[in-house]
Amino acid sequence: MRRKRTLTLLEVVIALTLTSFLLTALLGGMSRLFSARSRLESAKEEILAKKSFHERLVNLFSHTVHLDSLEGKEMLLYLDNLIDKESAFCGKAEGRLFIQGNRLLFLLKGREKKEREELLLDGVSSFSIQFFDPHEAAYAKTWDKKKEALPPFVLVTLSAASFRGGPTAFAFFLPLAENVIVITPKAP
Amino acid sequence: MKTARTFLLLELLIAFSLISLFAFPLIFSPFYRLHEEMKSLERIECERLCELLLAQVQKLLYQNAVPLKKISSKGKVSTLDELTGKKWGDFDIVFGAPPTKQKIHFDVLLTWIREPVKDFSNKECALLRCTFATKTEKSREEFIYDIPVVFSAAQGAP
Repeated sequence: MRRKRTLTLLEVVIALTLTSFLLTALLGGMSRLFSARSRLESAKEEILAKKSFHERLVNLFSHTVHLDSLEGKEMLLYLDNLIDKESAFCGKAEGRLFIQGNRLLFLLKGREKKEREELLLDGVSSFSIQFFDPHEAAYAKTWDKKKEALPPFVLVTLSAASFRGGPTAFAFFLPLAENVIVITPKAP
Repeated sequence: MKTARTFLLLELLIAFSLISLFAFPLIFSPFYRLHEEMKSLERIECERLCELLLAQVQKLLYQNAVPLKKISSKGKVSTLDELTGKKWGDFDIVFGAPPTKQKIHFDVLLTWIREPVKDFSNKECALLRCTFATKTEKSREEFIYDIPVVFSAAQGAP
């Protein structure tokens, strides 16, 4: 009777070596994948928080017809709110963007003394607004409603717990402002 | 009685090669998806930076600090660095945990989309295209903004 051939020691060693190479590569890859995933998740959370804050303010500024500010820390927005889910806030409404404690809030005042408060950002440690004055060609800390025009853009700088990289600046362009740049000659 | 045949080393090697061949895509496809997701996050962050940069460019234009006369005729592109003699478009961004610092540079390119022409009110109007081009670790992106410009009479068209 023919004897059954088993694997030699050399074959087993080669097989184990290959298995260990394969497992090392797979586990190393998995570990790198998990660490990259966790880094990405934290970056994603932060960038999406910035994006959602930015989009909310873009939406507010897109309906702003007049602006007023108090010491660059608080802003009154006179909005043409068009259609809102609550009838009291449809059409013309007044909004106030302000800091309370460490929360950045937006208070919308509608008809029949109705008010709606919205939390824009939590954990805010610093907040400043700058308005670009096209006549001075410089930023101003305040903007007076009496000024006929809106600033073409507004710079908002804030530090918040969800923005880990420190003070973060956002530029907002007001679509209802005069956006044509008039270039005037320099004084000789 | 016929004995059961054992595996040959060659067969084992083929088996390992096949496992490796099919296991690596399993690892690399999530890496590819992570890479794509990171690219889209970078694009979102770049959009915010471009709006800041656009505000800087508009401020320079309002200050009449960009010699628009030096921008060549339609189709030719000039960089803001060349025009002003200063370096523009550098940003440091920090995000994620642990915080990762990344440098992003945008080339600011200016070109006329519509060269200055007199309109019905006898003002000279033009359309300036501002392109912010960046090359991040993951991709190359371009952000385009068109800026309407009006020249008052004394300045004259470039």
